[in-house]
Amino acid sequence: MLLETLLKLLEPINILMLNIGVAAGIIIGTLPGLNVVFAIAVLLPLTFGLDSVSGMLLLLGSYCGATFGGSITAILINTPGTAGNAATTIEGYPMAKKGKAGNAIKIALISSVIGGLISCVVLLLFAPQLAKIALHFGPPEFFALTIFGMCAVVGITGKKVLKGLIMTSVGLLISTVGIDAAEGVKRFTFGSSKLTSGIKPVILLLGIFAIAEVILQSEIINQDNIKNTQVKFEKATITVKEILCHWKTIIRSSIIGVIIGAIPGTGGGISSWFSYNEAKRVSKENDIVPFGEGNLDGLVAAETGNNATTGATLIPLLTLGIPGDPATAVLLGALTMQGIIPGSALFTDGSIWVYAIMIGLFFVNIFLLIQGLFFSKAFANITRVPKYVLFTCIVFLCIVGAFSIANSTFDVLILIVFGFIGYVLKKLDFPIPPLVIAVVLGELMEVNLRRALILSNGNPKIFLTNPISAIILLVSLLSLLYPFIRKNFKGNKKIKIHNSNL
Amino acid sequence: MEVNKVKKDFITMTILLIFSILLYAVLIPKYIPQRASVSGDIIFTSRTFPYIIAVFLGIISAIGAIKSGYLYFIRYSKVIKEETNNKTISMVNIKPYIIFSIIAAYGVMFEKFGIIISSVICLPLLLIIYGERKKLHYVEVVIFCSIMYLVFRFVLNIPLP
Repeated sequence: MLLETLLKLLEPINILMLNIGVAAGIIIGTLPGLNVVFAIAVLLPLTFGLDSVSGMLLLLGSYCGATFGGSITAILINTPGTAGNAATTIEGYPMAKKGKAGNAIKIALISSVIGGLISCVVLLLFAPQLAKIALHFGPPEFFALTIFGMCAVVGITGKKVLKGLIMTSVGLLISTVGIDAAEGVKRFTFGSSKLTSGIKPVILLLGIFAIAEVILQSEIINQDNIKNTQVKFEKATITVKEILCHWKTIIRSSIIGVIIGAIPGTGGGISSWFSYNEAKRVSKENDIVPFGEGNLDGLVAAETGNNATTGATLIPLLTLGIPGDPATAVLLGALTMQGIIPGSALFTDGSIWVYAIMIGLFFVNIFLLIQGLFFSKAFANITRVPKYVLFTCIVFLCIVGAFSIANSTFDVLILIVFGFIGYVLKKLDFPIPPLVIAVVLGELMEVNLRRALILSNGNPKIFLTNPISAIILLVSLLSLLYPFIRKNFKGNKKIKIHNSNL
Repeated sequence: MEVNKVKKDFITMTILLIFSILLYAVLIPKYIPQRASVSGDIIFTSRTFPYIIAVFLGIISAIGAIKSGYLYFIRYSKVIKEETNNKTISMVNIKPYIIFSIIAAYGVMFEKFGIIISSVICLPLLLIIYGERKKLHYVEVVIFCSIMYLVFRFVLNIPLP
């Protein structure tokens, strides 16, 4: 099976798609304001005409590429390209100002690749085991997992929990449009035959992330601020051996990244900050180069932690069909379009598909390293290309892509409508990730809720009497209440410090 | 700014609360037919899940409306009185709406006139509205879109209108 998988991966089309994905991901990740989800969403239309493995490699390439790409702008212009690179600005930009931009980018690249490779190993080791455990899961457990996936995403919205819950409700409502598979009844089709198959999550994702962003970005008048802060790109002089001297930081940050990545609702942003703060706490280099002034440990930690989530977020996606973050929600949408249902069956049906994806992630990181080493300067020049040129191209890609799914202009209309809805939601400060996760998980949630209630003759206590689902629901509640708990804890701490100072 | 934000939240939450009531009372009964029961009690119908969502949405929006209403009408009432006395006219940025209109027109023209005509008209128009003056950028967009058209049409074999 391993040989078959490797031969499949080494097909020219797969290598090509992988590299295109990585390059496109780095380019999009480099642009401030555009995130990993945007990168995957924009490339999604290209997968419709491809084989499932090629399509997924394209998207995984863009996933890893965009996760690293944001570090280039973080280092050169002090603006993170994605949320996961915010911690990189603290050490990367000061390094660049000292004339070591090339070194900083090389450190970010090597750290990202190592973090990514370690997360691939974890994915390969743990995913099959979790799939075996998931075989014993029934409807109550799967229902509880969908609740957990949604609560976790809402919980990290911080002060916007209410708005997050509203978005979750709206997402679940959108997922009910179409034919109810259990009873064959049309729901919310408003007499239109075109809505019978429901609203495709992929179209919604494209509209809400790509088109909405294009409309939103038109409010930003000029990019002069970017040009004024940009630092010159100097060639890297640091060696790989010197970077690997920070192996303790790399290992620690990778572990943090993998654990955080495997938990639904988290992602590279949280992981990179955790890793950075941990490195700051234990580092002995603070005396040589203080943190905040170009400390290598800090930069290594931030980037390793960021990319170490990439493989780990695929664990709940591939084994349980629960996306770990909005980026994997888009990947789930892509899988559904390809007719692939994630879950334990992927690991037991004898198909090489899932192993091709997991091993393919290794290749993605290898090619990320190659492209980063040779083309970093070229990628850095992307910051000079006006964003509006790229946005115009993205509009074209989205319209054509939406049409390509089912050769339907109705899908184009849905894309545009959700593009506007996404823009309005962002203006009203509603978080988008809960909506996305709910749309993707809605059907799974309803199906398992229905099955569980039928099994228990309508008694909802089944979710509490079943120990696994009870524990998952408890964890879900805690993840939802986490911002309030944290706020109260911080408040009490401040009171204690104030009292002790008196 | 905070007052404006709270005001927007209050209006939005109220609208969502009204929507959830409409959803429960009108939309679900009207747009989800009830299948006749074939045997015994029906535990879970096609309407059950939408009803649960409607109730949940109603509760959350009610809480949101009460919270933002309290902030707007009680906590910030003094600030609102001061702002009413010092009223200034703020300009609405219409650029996003123009961009949206062009994208919408692009979608409609895509169906009626095909990809080439709609792209030739709408994409340069987008660049003009964005404020692009350099002709090179228009050429870059044309080249990129042409390449993508060829990829979709001849590599991915997706017929485009």
